[in-house]
Amino acid sequence: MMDRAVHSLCSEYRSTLLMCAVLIISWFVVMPVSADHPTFSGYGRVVAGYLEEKSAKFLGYEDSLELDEESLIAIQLNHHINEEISLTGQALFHSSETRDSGIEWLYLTYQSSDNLRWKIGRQRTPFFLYSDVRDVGYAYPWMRLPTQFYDGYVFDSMDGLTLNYQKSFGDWQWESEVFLGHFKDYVTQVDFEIEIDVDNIAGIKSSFTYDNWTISGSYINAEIDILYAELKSLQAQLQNAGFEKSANAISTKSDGHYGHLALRYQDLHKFWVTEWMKISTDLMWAPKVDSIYTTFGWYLDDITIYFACATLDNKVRTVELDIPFGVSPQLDFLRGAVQNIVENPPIDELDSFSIGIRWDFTQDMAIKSDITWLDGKQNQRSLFSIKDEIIFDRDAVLYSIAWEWVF
Amino acid sequence: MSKRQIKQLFLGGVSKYPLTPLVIAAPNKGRIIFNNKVLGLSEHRLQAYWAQMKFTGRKEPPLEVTTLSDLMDELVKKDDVITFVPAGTTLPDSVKTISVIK
Repeated sequence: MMDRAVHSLCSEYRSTLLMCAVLIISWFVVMPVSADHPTFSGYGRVVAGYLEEKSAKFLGYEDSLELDEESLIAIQLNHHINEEISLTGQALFHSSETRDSGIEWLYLTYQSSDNLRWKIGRQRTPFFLYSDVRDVGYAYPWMRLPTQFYDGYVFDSMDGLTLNYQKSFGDWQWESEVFLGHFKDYVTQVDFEIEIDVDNIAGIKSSFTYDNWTISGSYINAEIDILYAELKSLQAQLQNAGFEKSANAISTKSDGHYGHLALRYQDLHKFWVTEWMKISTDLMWAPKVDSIYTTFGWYLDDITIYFACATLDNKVRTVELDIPFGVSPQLDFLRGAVQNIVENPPIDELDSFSIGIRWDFTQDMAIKSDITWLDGKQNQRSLFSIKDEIIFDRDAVLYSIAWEWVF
Repeated sequence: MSKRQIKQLFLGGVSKYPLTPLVIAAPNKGRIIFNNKVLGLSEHRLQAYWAQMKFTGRKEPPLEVTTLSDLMDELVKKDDVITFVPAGTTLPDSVKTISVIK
């Protein structure tokens, strides 16, 4: 009991302590040594979207023009304390109600050699090819990173340590990252906000680049705890009553295993990217998530045209309950309550096809436009926020236009 | 030194050659030719690439100067610098040509 309390306390304050450590270390290191002035840079995007569907919302968009779902602005401070150490902070201001504004990055970088770099502090988890740059719309060709792929995992930042190692072998470049960290915050899955605590995040990512080709893979393991008080209370009651199978069926804690592979080709005239990922947990909501997307694009001077298709496959396991039926009205009620939870988890299978265009009309600015056809599955949520369950056929078209810039 | 190794250096990669890349800032015709023929990227794609690297703290873009004259001054002043200049540019004796782009 005491161990659990201590562990909980540690998790609670670990992030705060780490952030304070970054600030204090940088303060003491900066003050006596630094001669360089800090540099400021940033990026922004204004995104407008319209969903051709009256009975559902997708990414917050509905059948009226919305500007405040994905628009944002960020300011980055970078300060070279000396040749080896630098401090980076990034404040992000979102217009969306589902994302908090504030410090998204705050870390110290220590370049211990030409090949090895250490980053400590708050940073984005470098899971996939673009996961640490998802807010910088100017950096990628799409209107937004493929939703089924990049919204399919529950946390995108961490407080922790990343080691980055690079080496060249003739014409080949090898880059590897090992990262360890912790995440605790509220996350929004479609229209459902919940607090999660992800401890002992441990991952490795490796990529090889040869000329125009890049192949990349990663594996991450983490301990996920969904902080849903009502469910935890029900689980404790089931355990106390001796219904272990039923208690396990609604468990809110599980190890999460993430696997990822990516292949990218890019030359002066065209590009191709495909990424595949698999998530496996013991959680009843998402025991197995598979997602893949592929994109072909062409560069025509200042114009980029792309076609993208993406899919999300969500397998829910069958649960066996050990609460007897017909013994007493109380047990029947309890069984009904648990059955209702385990038989109705939100399932998010969704296919999509997008066509988009990007125009780099001047230096550091671009305009993008995109049409995405969404094809969900009947009787599933399919990442939609459904307003009318009976009318909605899980098909919709999303139109978007964005102005992207960096400074 | 192969063209691919030159590309790696100018895109922030590591190399067995301890050279620091130096470039002329955009807009510049020589830069466009170098970006297209060696890096395989247009100027806009290159800017998008550096946005990704910069805002994720992965790599920093090469040092930039504004004119060819500034570039030549830096070449004379600094050791172990790698850069590109238009064909026919008179180079100091201390500078070695490693590749000619046609």
